[in-house]
Amino acid sequence: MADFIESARAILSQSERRMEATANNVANITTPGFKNQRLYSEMSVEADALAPETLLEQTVDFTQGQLSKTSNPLDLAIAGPGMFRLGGADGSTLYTRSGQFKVADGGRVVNAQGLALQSADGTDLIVPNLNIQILTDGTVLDGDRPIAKVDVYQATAGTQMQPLGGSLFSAPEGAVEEVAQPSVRQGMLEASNVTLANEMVNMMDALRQAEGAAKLVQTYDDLMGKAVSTFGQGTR
Amino acid sequence: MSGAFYIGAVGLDAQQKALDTIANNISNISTSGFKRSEVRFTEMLASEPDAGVLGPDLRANAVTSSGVKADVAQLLNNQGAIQSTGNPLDLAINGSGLIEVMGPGGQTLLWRGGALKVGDRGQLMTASGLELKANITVPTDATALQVGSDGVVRATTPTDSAPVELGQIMLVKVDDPSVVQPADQGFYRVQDGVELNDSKPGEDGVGTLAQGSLEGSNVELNQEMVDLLVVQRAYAANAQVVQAADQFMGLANGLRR
Repeated sequence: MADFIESARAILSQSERRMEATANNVANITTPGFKNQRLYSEMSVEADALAPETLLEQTVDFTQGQLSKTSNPLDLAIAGPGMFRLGGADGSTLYTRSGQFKVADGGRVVNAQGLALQSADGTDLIVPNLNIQILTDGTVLDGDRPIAKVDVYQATAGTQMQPLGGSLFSAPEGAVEEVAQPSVRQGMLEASNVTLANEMVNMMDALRQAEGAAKLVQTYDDLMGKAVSTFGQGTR
Repeated sequence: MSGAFYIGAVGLDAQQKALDTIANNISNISTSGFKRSEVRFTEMLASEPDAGVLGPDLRANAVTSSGVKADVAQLLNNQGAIQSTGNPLDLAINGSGLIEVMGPGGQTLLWRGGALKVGDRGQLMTASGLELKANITVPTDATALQVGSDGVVRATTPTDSAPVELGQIMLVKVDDPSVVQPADQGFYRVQDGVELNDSKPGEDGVGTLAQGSLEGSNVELNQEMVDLLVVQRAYAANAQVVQAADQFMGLANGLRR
């Protein structure tokens, strides 16, 4: 009988997690380069392995978002596969498709979180001014002179980028490769690929799932109450 | 407490900020020299990304993200349309430079051009009464004032046959718009410790000066209107999330009858 209430508890906490994921997708519906995150329930193999945390699998939907034109020369979008490589202050390497950059001290190109865009030679990209031109293959031109190249990367076949949320990704060591024919668009941004209708349906779904679990708990409670009163009478 | 609650609330907050920004852009659509601001949304992560610490088992902390963050960035280097006014004391900048003026407390302010006037001692100042850093004094008997596209100011006086050179208005360029904050009346305050380098107009990509013109604002109404609709819908969606989270908690509270 205790397994029964455990299951109900797991369903409840699962639906709460799904709701959180939906909430995050909705909150980022206007975040450029954001990729929709989805939590899937997994079939539990062992009957007692009902811990809610292990039942959910997070996946990221890498569908291309709409590209839209902006007026900022450091807004970059990728059409097709690939991600920009970002460097943290601590030497960590992360990947993103959200290309809203600005110039920081010394001409470094950073995103809103302060992570620096990396050029193809593995150093921070430095731009001399904002009149630079970035070609679709990632070559950065100052006037007519190429000064650097921005490469885009993808996980090698059989591996996957690990999501840290919906806009930053980390790659397994040594399992990234440059995209052969990248398509970098300067002055454009990729819209978030969250679909509002889907999110609303997911939210309703999570809520109904929770309602179902609540019913289970109540039924269990009723049964226990009945058992106590019935057996209690019998002993008198 | 349900995390969806907070994420929804943070989302509402971010969209509110976007709405404020759009409202400010639209209300300044006919302010000369106004530069529109833009909201930049980024995903907020509950734990700072650190590739070293991140274990292979991401399923243990499936949801690391916790909403959205909105930053407002001003598009300082985005040119507005130059409109001819015919008034010789109107000055516009065609390019991304800014004019240095002396603030009321002696600090340097940056100015995107606009109407000029001549002070009672002949000093050239903005219409709001702040002197230009170029320190140009116009002779009292001057009949005409010329500002060249290179910033050289000349005055025509009855006593001289040719216009007299009075000085040159220099321009400074700001590459990182986050080091300047917009102040009242189209001025920009410069952060402490930021070094500004003068350039002659026409050099180093600072642009040129246009006398007898004003720069229109760079706000485009179509774009603001579309953004406004998107913000409205996104706000409503976040409100739905908060409501659903509330229902969820009501459900949890109702477990024990």
